[in-house]
Amino acid sequence: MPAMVSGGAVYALLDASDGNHAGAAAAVRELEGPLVLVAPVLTDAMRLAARYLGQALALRLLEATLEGELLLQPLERRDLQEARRLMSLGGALSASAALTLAAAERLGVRDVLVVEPATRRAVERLGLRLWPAEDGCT
Amino acid sequence: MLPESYWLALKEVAEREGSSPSELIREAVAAYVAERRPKAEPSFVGAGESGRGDVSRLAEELLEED
Repeated sequence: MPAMVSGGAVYALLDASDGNHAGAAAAVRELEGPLVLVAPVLTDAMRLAARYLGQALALRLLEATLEGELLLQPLERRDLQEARRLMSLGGALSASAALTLAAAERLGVRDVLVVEPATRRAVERLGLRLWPAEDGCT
Repeated sequence: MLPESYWLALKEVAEREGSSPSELIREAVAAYVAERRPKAEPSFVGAGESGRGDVSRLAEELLEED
């Protein structure tokens, strides 16, 4: 089944030494579906990868998107409107996370792979399915 | 709709293998779908190692530092 993915989760998949790597990788194997992301999430993940893993691995994420391993979903005006509403609720939700959750709602995607604590709380509030189910943060 | 030449070739293969054209079509579609489905695990999984364990958990804070 398809799952929306956050920037932190994409990074966790990439970095074998990250505390969330094993949980995120196991979730991907169980989901067996495409990982869907919006452009701000791709740039977030690439920025983290460039800083902590090097530019070559940041570009690897771009390549994975070009190859369809990560499915880039264009944002629509209504996603921005919903993201504004979600962010106005508080909870320290980032713009990338809010846009991800707005796109998930529009697309009917119920599964969200996310490791950032604030976003995980928002996913739970919205009644979406959280992956990994357990918080594996170190 | 299959072109006639494909249909005849399919029937020939099915007869030779003791199968049926419909069974071969099912097998071909299943193989096609399996090949084109996204991989269960993307190729970039585990491609890097930062030596840090907390980057993804702190992603939002780290990105705000920029």
